Amino acid sequence: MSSFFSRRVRHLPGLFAWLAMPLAAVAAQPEQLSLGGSAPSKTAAPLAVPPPQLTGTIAVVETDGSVALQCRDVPNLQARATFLERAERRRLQEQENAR
Amino acid sequence: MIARTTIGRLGWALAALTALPVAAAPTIPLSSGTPAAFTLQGGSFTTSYYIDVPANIAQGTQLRLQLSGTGAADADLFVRYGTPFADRSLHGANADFDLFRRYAHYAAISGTSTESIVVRASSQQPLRPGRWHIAIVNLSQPSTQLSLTATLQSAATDGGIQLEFPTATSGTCSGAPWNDSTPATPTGGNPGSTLGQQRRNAMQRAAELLAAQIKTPAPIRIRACWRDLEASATRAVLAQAGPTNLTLHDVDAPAPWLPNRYSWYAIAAASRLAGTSACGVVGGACTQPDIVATFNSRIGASDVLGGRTFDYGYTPAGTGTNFDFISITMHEIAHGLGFLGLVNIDAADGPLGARFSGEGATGYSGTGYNDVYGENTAILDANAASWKPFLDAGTSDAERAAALVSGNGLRWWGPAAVASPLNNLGAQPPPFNLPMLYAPCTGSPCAPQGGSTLSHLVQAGDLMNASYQIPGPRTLGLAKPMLDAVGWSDAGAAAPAFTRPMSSWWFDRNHSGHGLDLQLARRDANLGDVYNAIFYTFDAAGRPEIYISTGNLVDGVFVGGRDQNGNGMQRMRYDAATRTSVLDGSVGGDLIIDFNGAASAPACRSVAHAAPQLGLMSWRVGTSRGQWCIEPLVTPDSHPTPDLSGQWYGGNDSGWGIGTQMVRRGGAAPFSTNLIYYPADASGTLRWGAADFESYAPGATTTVYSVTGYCRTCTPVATTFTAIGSLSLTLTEATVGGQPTGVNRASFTLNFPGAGYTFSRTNAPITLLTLPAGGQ
Repeated sequence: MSSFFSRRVRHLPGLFAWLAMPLAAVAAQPEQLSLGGSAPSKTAAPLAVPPPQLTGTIAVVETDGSVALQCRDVPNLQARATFLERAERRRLQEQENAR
Repeated sequence: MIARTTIGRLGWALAALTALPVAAAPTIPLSSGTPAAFTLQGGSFTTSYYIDVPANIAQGTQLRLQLSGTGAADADLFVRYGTPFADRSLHGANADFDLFRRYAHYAAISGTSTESIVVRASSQQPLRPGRWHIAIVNLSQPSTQLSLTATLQSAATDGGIQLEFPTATSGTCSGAPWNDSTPATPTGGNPGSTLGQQRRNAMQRAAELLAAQIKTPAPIRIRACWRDLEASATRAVLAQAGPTNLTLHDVDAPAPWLPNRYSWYAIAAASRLAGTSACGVVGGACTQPDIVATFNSRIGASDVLGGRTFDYGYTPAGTGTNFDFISITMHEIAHGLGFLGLVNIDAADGPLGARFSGEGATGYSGTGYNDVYGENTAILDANAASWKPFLDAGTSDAERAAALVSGNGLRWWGPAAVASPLNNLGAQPPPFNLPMLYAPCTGSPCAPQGGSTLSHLVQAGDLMNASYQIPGPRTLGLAKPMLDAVGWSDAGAAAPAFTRPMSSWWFDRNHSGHGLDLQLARRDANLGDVYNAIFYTFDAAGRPEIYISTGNLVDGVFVGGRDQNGNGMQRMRYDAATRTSVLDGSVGGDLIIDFNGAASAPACRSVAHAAPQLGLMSWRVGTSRGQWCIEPLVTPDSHPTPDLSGQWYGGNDSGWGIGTQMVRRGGAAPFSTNLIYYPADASGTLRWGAADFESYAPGATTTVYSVTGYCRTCTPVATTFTAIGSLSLTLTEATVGGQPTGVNRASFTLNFPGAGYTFSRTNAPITLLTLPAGGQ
């Protein structure tokens, strides 16, 4: 009993120091595991595909001099590279499937 | 603490009955608003954190999760309600990024280490009392210091609309006109004293007016540009805009926070529903805006439209010839928010009425997906006083094309807009009360009016009317309840219900002969019930072969558990020496089946919707992939009593098995159809044969046939049957697992054609590997 008591006394300074530490420093640390897969990478992210058209407002001067405004579509030409790239990926997959 | 697990035994005795639970017990509760700081090793993850939402949360409360890291690390944040994330697969492999995606109800996966997620009562998985589990993944190699805060906020915060005024020209986007120092006289309440100031003020006012009508946790980012667009004395583009991206939920790219599956959403709406930013939704750098709005820098020139220019006044001019900048801007941004139909309205781009696929020269090649705007659109049959959904599987491109030029036949059926007091047709009897969309007959023969048809309203005075009006509106009007239907609603949502697939053989009508023996093997309330799936199919030569997959049903999605090689579907080989099967490492695969909303998936569009359930099955074998629409062959209500259907195996005498489906036949003995999985040659190649008992009685004997078909990606041909032996089955009791007691037995002798090999058993005791009666 006495030896147990003496051990506790010896450890008290350390215990006090521990209690005085900032809370964050003694916060529980999370369990961690290595990610599975041969090389950790992002898969299955949702698609991001540009729209085929933008919308626009166009003004047209009528023969009576008045101006009519209407909406119209604007081909999203910048998107077309993405569409072609996606089609190419599909073609390559189909080629792979055909092997 | 991380739970320990064993690597399950693969083979006919699938891992399902032997794998231990693989969920970590979350150990660190978060207190609302108190950050937790920790270091996450490179290429690792933690599932330790959670927050308990108390039962007495006030209406309107939202949960905000904020992850902040240092340096150039890439850390991602995942949230799941109720049950925990899996730390490992059923086969003991550590969870990979994909597994977190499968379990997450929300995910923020940008290429940075700063992520946030907001969950509200209106979210697809609504905020409610209970435990919200958190997973954090560090995809970078170095260790990263992270801070995680979960905060319950008593009221929804609003990210508003964030405008980006470029200061320099980048590509086709010029920012110079925002800083035009030409002196200007304050107009219509706009105090700007230079043209640039007035422009920025007006743009800001348009954004504020919209932001007051729509709320979103993460800011909507709009890049505002100027550019020389089409302009002449008689005709000019004033402004144009659109979402930078569209996104959707697909079995291979899950986005479970989107209410409509397999349906395009504008990225701003999708981000709002995800409770995060656009880069949080789709990954990558956070440099791209949600919407780009471009104004014509030629407007105001003396040789353009007679010198008419923009009116930057806050108060709409009652008359005049200039163009109301604010209402035009609001109108165009509303399109960018998702007030946008995506079916093709230009014959030059593909078949009129075709769905948008995002592939090919114009985006309309192949089989497209629905879009959420189109899913709220209706085709009115005035003569029959009825309507049908515009994107119903039974509605053809031609029917849509006709509706697009029908004058009054293109409608909106979203209930909130129909019931809105802003609906000018609200007093009409149904279905004539459906708000009318713009569908003029232009030219001869009739053609849609590019850019106007479908994505505009007809009713006068509305912001989203197809024609410009003076004074320009300052409110969304009927567009508000319409936008609500495409992702902008604040209405409380009910917790989603997920499909539990029935234990059965599932087949795809377009791949007759192939199929999936899918059986419930074990209940698991934590990680999702465990199913055994045997993909009975054909190899490149048309010979029968099988792949197996054991996986959890995660929110109505079967997720084939990945092994240490990263494969979620395995091919096995029989090992005669040990009387079991071993992994064939020469080929691996994956198997994911989405049983929620599969009817909307392109692969299921041509399937008879009378099927009691549908699944969209994404499979991979080696580098070959496919998406098939599957439905059950036998439904539980067809089984006799007792029902001895299921997957049978021989305990320690493993590596082969029998799949049985029994069908009730009035007062007669049941029909029993069976698949026998067996080694067909000396090297242990596993194949399947088919054997039916027209009238099953214990001890009955029947012929086993080998089926010759066509490969998974080949053009279907008729299957042929070759007798390869006999099967005698004595099934008396639905015993499950462990070593068979002998009350159920199988005898068979099988000779696969040309193999010179016989596989046989005599009175081999068998027992069910899967739950009796499919776990019903």
